[in-house]
Amino acid sequence: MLEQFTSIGIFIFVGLGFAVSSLLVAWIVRPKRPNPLKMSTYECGLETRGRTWIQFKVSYFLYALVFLVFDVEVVFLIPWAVEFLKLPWIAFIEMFIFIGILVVGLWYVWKEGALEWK
Amino acid sequence: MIAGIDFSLLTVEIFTAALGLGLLIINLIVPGNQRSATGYLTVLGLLGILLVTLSYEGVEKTFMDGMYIIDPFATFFKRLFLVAAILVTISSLPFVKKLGYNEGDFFSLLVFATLGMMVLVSAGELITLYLGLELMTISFYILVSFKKKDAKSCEAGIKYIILSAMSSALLLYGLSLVYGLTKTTIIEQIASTLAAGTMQPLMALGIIFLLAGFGFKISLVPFHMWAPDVYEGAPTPITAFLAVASKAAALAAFVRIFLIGFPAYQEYWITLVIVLSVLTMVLGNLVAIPQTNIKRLLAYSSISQAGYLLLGIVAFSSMGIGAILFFSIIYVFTNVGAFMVVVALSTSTGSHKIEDYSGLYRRAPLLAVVMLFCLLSLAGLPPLAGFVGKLYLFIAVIEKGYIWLALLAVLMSMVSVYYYLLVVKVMFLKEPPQNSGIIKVPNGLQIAMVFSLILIIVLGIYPKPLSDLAMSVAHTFFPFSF
Amino acid sequence: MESLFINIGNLCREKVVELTEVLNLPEAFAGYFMVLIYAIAILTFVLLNAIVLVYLERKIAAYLQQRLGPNRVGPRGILQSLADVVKLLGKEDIIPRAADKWIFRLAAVLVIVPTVMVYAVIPFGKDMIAVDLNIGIFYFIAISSTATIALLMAGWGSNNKYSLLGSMRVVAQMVSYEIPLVFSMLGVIMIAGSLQMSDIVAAQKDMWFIVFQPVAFLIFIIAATAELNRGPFDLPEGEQEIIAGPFTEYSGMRYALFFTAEYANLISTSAIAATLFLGGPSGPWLPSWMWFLIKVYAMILFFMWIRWTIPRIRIDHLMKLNWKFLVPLSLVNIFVTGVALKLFSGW
Repeated sequence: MLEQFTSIGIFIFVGLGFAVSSLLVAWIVRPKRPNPLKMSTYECGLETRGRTWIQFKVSYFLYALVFLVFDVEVVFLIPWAVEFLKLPWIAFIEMFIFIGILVVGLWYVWKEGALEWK
Repeated sequence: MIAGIDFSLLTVEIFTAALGLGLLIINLIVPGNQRSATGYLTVLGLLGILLVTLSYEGVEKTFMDGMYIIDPFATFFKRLFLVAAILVTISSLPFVKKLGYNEGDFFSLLVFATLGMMVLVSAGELITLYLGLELMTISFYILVSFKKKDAKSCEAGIKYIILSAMSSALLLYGLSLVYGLTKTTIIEQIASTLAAGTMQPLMALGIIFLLAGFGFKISLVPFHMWAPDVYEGAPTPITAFLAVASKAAALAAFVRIFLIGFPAYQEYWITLVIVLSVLTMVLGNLVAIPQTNIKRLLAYSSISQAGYLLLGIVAFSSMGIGAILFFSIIYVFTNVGAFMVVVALSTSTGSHKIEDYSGLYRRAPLLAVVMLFCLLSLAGLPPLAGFVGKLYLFIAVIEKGYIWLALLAVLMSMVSVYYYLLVVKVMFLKEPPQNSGIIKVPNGLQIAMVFSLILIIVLGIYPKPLSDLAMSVAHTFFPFSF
Repeated sequence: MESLFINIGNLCREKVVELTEVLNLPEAFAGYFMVLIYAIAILTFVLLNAIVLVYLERKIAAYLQQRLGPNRVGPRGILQSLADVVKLLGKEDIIPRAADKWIFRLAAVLVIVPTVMVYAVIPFGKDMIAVDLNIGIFYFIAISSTATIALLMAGWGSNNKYSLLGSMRVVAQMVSYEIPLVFSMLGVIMIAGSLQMSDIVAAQKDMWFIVFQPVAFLIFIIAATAELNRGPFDLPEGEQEIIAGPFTEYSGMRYALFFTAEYANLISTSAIAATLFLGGPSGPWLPSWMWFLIKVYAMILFFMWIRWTIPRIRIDHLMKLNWKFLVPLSLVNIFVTGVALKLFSGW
């Protein structure tokens, strides 16, 4: 088990190594002639106006909240799905009570209009 | 059925959860203009669950290796929460009717808050305890800021979220320190692990964090600063629920952790609790005097009541626990009674200023009388129930030799009589303002108020059945009087 | 032919074992060296394929739109992608003055790491999984979803309005479509009874899971297209409205990294689709790795076909499709699968 995850560590290392080494190669061969115009923010040639980091549309955060609920559900569902064939019927019913509660949540969110993009 | 798990022990919790979800679903199905009727359904459902708790008389079992405890102590508090929830639901009917949005959610959240409290008092383990606490507080966040178009309500909601989150963090830090030192989260095992050892500095830190965390929830001085603002901004029925049930739930969990989990260190933390209790009684009562808003007045009064309740923990005996149980039941009726009057008045006048109560006796005799008795009972004047409750608490501390503490508490009760009587004076002696008519009170609210009134008087004159019950519950929970 | 790559692997292993003995290293090191070799081999495979895919994509797009596509460099423009690589390598790397420099730099590195990592559990052929984790498919879900953070960092760090808008769209879209994606996998997991890739492949010995789980396959395809930010779900990079989304400010090799990651993700997702629903590397006559390659390319061509056929959809439709159609449908699919499995497998 631990060995397998050390191997995963090697994959992380290879991924990082690839990214860093390719950037390094590019750094060696590429021209470096920055000027103020090049360094300005790209906005199709227009001057950029106002701040970029501002309060953002709230719909995105509503989706994030709904996602959070369902992602936690997934974490519970996966072990259940793996052992599904070995579990008795009662486990199936229990899980669907759990999913049912979340479906009521989805229904509520739907009805309250949090899923609408306004 | 999975072996070793007896789900029938959880009937009350399962029914409560089902009620909460059911209300949510009904809210989704029923068209908007008929939703306020879900309130009556909530009352019926909660009454049904209250009946179910009757079958738990004397049951003392644990669920999943001590994770969840069904004992008379927990059942007693569950009944208390249910009664409080029923009264609060009745008193919130006029508020919700005027609300015009999310009517069903209000009651659903109320039920979920109650469920959180139930989990909190039944938890035999730190994580379950935290879960219950969060279910309760998160429901309250929404309930407190339910008047979303009212700036004060929103302010109260934000304040409650931020301060509550901070106190939760403190509590969680304390819990993790305790877990780190004892390697268990089950409260009874914590006690047996600690029995042998001496006080470690980290453990002291953990206990202090726990005290601070619970102090926030029970609104003890110096962790009380959120209470007046939140109580003022929240919808009045929610204020009542917050002042009564949430406080009782946090206190019950506090009692379970400290009395069952840390009896080995009692000499250390009892000193701290005495300090908190004195501060709370003195500050709560003195700051209440200059208040001009009835909700803030009641907020400070409820802070000071928490100080009295701590006396029962200071006593560290079954007598003390019994006194806490008895006092909290009475506190439910008196405080919710007082808040029901505030609700009735504010739905017709829309004001919470004490001066607007002038001449209330002429305009609505029932309201004035209920308010009078509730305030006098809060002050602890005989022959009302509040007097008996305080008496038990004082006897419990005197038994342990803290006579000065009892004297201080009596002195502070005197102070409280003063500011309660100020309100009474305004209600009975001042002339009503010009062109003010008679105040109409909804039938349900009237019944609930009369019910509270009768209980306050009857339990004051004949407290024996309730006190016997409280003492026997306390005795099975904590059979020591050393 | 069947065990071509395995034989090469064994040859390498012998050399590595010899080397560790000579250098007097602990025995476990031989295994780790082998994983390193696998990782580098897989990386090379992915990069080569990415180059091919860029050419393929441009050519297919051109034919679908009735034009010629790249045709200058080499016969039929076959060397176009190679020329592009050289060009990107030689481009100046510009970091805008307004950008949050370290987040901007780090995003380009971080986006490639999870992309490479997921290849650890992909079964390229019979006995050709680099690390056969017992939580294989869960590992894939967990790692591939972290790419969202890198894209958000890219958009935020650029301090460019198009970038931020694009990255917020990326997050909303990838996060939303992850739910039906995972739910559709659950049906497969329930039948296979394991998260391990080799077990899932073995469970499809008699019949591909696409037969048992057609609805799940459909959901998977749709959700995967959205996860890959490919048309018709390419709002985060919709060229006509927000330039290139989170990549707007990137240039040179950093941009190339994002681009590579995108194609590498396309390959890995196609490979997962082939493994979960199309029987993985199993098949008659041909060697298993060749079957796998065929299936993966079939999936890739399918994704490309969709991309250049269906126009981009609006963001409200995108969200509606996910939350109001795919999520309920996938839950129903799990329910039906559960009932059917219980009925057919007895009590």
